[in-house]
Amino acid sequence: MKMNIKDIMEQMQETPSPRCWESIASQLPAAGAAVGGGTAATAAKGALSAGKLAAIIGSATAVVAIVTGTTIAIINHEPASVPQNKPESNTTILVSENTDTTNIDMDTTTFPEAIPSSTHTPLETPHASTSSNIEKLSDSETSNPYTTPTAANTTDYSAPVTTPSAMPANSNPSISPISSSPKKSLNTVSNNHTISQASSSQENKQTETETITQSKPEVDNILENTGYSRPVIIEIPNIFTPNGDGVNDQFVINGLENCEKKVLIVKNQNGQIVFQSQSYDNSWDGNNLPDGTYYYQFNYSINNISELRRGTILIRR
Amino acid sequence: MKVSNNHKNLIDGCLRNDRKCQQELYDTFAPKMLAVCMRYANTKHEAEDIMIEGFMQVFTHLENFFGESSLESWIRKIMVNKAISNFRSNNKRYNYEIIDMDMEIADDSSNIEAGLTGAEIIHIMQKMPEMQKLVFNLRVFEDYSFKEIGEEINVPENTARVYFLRAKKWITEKIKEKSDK
Repeated sequence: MKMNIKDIMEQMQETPSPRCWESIASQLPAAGAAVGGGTAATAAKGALSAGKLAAIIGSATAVVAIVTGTTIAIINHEPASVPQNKPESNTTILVSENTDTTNIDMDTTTFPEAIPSSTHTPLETPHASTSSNIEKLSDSETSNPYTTPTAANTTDYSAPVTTPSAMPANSNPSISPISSSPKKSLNTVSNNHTISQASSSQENKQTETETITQSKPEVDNILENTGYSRPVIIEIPNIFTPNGDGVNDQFVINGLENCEKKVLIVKNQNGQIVFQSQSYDNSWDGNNLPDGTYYYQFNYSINNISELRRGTILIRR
Repeated sequence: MKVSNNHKNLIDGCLRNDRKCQQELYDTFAPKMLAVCMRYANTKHEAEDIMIEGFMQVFTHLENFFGESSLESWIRKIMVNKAISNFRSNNKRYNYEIIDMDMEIADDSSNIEAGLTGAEIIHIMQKMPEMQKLVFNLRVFEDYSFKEIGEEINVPENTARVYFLRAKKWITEKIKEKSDK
């Protein structure tokens, strides 16, 4: 029997896989969050921006908290134009205090950026003078030949926040707390820069002076009292072996369950997309692609702070 | 107001961010909308991604729905727009050819008959070239005019018309092949 294809298609239904609703539910604002029902657009937008504001204030306080414990170098805010194409980073640590987060990128390649002169931005002129004090102070502490004065300072004081012991044993051995460059640590926070700066600058000045006069053990005590929870680590492997032996058969991103948004795109060496997913669930098995190197982009967000990670993934069976 | 009482309650629930109402709305429309998205996508996975994006927009912009059309057609319009933007982002460097209309015979009625199931037609459509598929979809299923299609994908009206004619010729042949088997 012949029918117009428009009518055939109108009647057609297709059952979506469960992952669809799971993905939508995870992206929706948390259930129970009050969104004005009747008063339409403005109310909803108001609620949204209120949520955003809360997040911004959250990150601002997180920054201040770290400033208290670590060094002036960290409050050197970056201008909003942080380059998107940052080098491949292997592990990201999110230190969270309740719902507040600060993203600290651990990346050995960014190490040279930790040189003090480059962390001074014209935006924060008072900091420039105070951090030079810190440099003098830390000169005497520098024992590691590979650390610049500022980095050494950061490392010492931030140790309780991102201790190596808090990472899984299989994390990349090349990563050390030394490389937690202050510049990188503000990548995510810098988006909120304009607002958070206003609200936190006054407090910053206060904490700066405190920090300078404080000796090291006192700072350690303050950090212990701030109650940081365990860092969230997103770890992306660079190889997997989909040969059906039950070991490393899927491309598994560790820490995926902590992400709200998890968009994965995999391309081959010609730049063609071979796999993509709006909500990746650690289930990709290589789709019978030939062995070789592929490029991934993983766009994720944790507590509404989003990050893009790129890198290579080797398929070997 | 054409919104039925049933949907009105659902919409109010969704605006209150009631997860149950949101899921009910999703369950009501997802199978139909996935069928719509399947026509535009190359795989079911891709179609689901379009649908997820579409529903996210439905839920975040529901307050802009005032009932001037049925809820279903409103959601469907969002899905189609998502599919078009998906097409755009996948075909950024697409260079269209300017085609001489006189070469083609202009029978642009969108009435195509087939003795196949929806799934079989989707299977055929998934093999259609991207550009033709989009034009064909918009013309046959969404009743866009060629002028509107041209504006959506940034080609002259006549070029859109030719794409449609090619797509129609292509799919008629495929349907005939399939029916003969």
